[in-house]
Amino acid sequence: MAHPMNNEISSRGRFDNVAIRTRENRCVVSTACPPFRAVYWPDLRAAAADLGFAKLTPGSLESWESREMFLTHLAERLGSAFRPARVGFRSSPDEIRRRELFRRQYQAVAFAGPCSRGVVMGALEAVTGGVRRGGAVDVSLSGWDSIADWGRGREMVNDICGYLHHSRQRAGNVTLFSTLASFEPDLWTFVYDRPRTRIAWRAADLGGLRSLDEYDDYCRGSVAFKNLKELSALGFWLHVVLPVSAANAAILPEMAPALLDATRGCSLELVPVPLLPWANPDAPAGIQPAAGHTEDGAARLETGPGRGLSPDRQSPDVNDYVEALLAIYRNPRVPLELISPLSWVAARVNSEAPLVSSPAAVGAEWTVLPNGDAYAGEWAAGLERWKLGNVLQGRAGIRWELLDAMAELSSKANKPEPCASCDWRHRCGGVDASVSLAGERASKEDLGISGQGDGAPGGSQAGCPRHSGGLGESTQAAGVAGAAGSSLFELYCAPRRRLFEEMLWGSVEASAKARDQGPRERIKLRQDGIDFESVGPQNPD
Amino acid sequence: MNCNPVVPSREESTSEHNPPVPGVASAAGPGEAVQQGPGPGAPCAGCSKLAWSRISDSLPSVRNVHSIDLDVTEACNLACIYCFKWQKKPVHMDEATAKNAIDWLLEASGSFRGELKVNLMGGEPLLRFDLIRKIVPYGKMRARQRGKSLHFGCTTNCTHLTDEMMDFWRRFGMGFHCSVDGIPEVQNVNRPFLGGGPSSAAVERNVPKILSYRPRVTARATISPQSVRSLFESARYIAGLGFTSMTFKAAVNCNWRPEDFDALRCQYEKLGEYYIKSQLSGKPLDIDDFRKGIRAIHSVEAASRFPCGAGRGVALVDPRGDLWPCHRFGPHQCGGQFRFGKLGEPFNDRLRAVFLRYNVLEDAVTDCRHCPAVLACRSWCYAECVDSTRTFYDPGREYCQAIKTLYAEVLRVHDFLRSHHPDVLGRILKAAG
Repeated sequence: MAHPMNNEISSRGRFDNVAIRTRENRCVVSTACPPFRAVYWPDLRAAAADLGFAKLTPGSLESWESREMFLTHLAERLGSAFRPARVGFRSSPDEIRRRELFRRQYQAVAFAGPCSRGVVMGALEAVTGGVRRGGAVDVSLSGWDSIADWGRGREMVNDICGYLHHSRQRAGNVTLFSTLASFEPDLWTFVYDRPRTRIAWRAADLGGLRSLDEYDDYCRGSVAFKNLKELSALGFWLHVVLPVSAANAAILPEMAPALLDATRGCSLELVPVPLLPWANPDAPAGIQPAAGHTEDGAARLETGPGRGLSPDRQSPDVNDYVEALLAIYRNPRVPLELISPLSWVAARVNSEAPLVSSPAAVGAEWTVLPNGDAYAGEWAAGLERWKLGNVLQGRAGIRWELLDAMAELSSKANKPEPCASCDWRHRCGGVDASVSLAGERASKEDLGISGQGDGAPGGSQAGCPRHSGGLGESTQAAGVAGAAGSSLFELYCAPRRRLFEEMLWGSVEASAKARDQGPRERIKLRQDGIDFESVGPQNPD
Repeated sequence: MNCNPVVPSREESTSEHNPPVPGVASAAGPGEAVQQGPGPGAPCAGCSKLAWSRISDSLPSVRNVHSIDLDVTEACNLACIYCFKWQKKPVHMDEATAKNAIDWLLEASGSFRGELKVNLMGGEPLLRFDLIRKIVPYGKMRARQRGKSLHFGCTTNCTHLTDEMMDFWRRFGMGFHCSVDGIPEVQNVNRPFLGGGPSSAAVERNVPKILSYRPRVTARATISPQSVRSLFESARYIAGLGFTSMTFKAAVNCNWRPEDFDALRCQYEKLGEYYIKSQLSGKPLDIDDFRKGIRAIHSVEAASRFPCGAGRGVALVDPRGDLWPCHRFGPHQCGGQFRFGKLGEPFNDRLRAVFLRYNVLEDAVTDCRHCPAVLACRSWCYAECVDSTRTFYDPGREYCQAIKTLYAEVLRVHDFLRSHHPDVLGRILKAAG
């Protein structure tokens, strides 16, 4: 006779790939992994009628047995869409293959400073070599204001665009990070001829604002903000990285739409301060902007009057941050696709394709320092164990296995609880590697390779932040370092979980509304207006 | 906050939003006041203060708009006898409204990946070159950075063109659509300057500039009962100007008499012969009406259940920021009842659904189902229906008669080519497809 506990585990596992959600008597059943499917009932009575139950209540779906019965009926009705499946907790060959495929289609490389032509060409050769023709290579010039230093910046962008054009990898963007203290008149013509060039503003100064009055004062007095508006009026589609701190989290719901208005719809990236590499005091030179720059937010965040100086005080409260994001989400005038992480979640709710959390999470992100040293992502820069090699020495010297290890560190398959029980883990694609590495920097622990006897990063549990003391719930063992990691984990996951939940319901409502087009109508002109007359239920569309 | 201002109500409008263009005559007479006040006819009110995020309020629920007509001004330097903008005033679009309109198109096009189009219209749009010079670079840059393609075209009367304009057009690869009615006698009577002076000399002077830049620009001629007897001669004149592409549209509501339709049939016959000859020659002319008609005979797809793209993929933004189904609709056309909304205000999706779900074979009052010309009837115009018959589904006698006359000739040309020159017919069909 089988042990009852085994039965329960088996029962839970049968429909590991399906999630049931009820709210206000409505019911949605969706798969939590590809292929994504969802079925929706406006109320539980309709669901009961559909599946042949006498009655269904939200309470009746709470026990595993009743969920099992419910889903079994559904699987019988809908066939393969809701076929029971176990979802494993290790990188499957399929996942590894998809990761490889992703890397062949996309790579991102960041130059953390003004690099020589040799470094630029060496890095692009190394990065683009693995990308098939027609794929995309995103390049960003970070850690250095290439717009202010336009002589060198122009030359470097010209080289990059020329290389990507000739290597037929023309779909990627070249992003120039700037403080927008000034810009040259020929910038418009240059960018018009190279439309994939994006200008990004690090709005670090906005990270320390506590009220809308302060924001107004800043808008009036800031040269950077004036330039931001001027560039937007010239047609540039700007990218703004807005740090979210304990100070500005409360005004975020008003500040984000105001920034969209000022820039005529920039793409806005909201990042909690602890997850910003350039706001991190431990980041290497190049990643961390030079202190003392007048428009430089990192400096102001750390030294500005009245600002919290410690990283803990700069970090927003998770609940405040989540509430701010939800308020932005509920603002109908804010296009979801323009604000990250809302756009990040929206893309994953509405997609059937398997997704990854970020390029770094599949080992498709490089950061190159001016001396040619390459690292597996921006957060890895300066960490010796994540050093891929030096691009001046060619592709042969690159430690490619580190990119795989980085992917393994972020792999969704490696996550135990709470990821394992999270309905969104497959859509999420796993926690971004940046969170793990940020936690590592905060904890000063060797997150990636601790616990590995041979010192090699990766492995099934090695990348798990919780197991290595960086992230997760068990903070006692990890002490202070674990606490820091745990808060980072929450900063990353909590808003996304909540947004997934909200957007699922939003898309369900939208699809239900779209289905109900109503009868076709004709119009009849009156002297002072128009009358609509129904012409029956037929719908030629 | 200063970056998210409240949009003032229409009543707050001031003349500052519509500054007159220096050196340009307007249709309003001396001392004639610009129409103001609420309602669709009001001049732009607070458009320049419209916050970008308010644009999302006016987006349609079905985002498939791929083309907008942008009335950059209602002023014109000509006084065409059949102009449908008969109440035109010196109302000009401001820069903010134009930019908002472009942003609206980029958003309202949704996931449409083809080329988006902005057609600069008016009035005479080239009178607002100062505005065009600002909004085209903006729109092109914005679209390119968003990964979309945006083409600007301009419908002009060819009387107000400078070398500076031509350089600008070349720089941004913009298009032209020329309104030319034909021989000087027709042009000068149908399309005189505001003061009554002849316009044909200005057209003859400027057309070569346009053709040197875009040799395949289409000339559009409007046929009125007064000019119908010169149709064939006008076609030859237009070809003599250098145009290789032309189209002829009959103006309706112009008191066409039976003898005028007889003359139209006679002229279409001559035009048909001319078309055949040109097709057999080394330099074929593209007469749009024949090409599309021939294609319609061959392609069921061409016989769309929609007369045109108005209200579906096309919209008009007028100088006040109001949204309409196409350039033929406006505050002074069709009773001003077809307003979709205004930039920054809710969009009338219910009205648009009428356009989206229109079915010519089911809705038309006239018996289109049994009409032989229904396949070629691609120039059906909602606005003309409303203007002619005060219904949305009946184009009226004049329109039907004109289209049937054209179709009879298209059929004749088609049959001749099929019998004697199938290769030429194949070439036309290939070009039309």
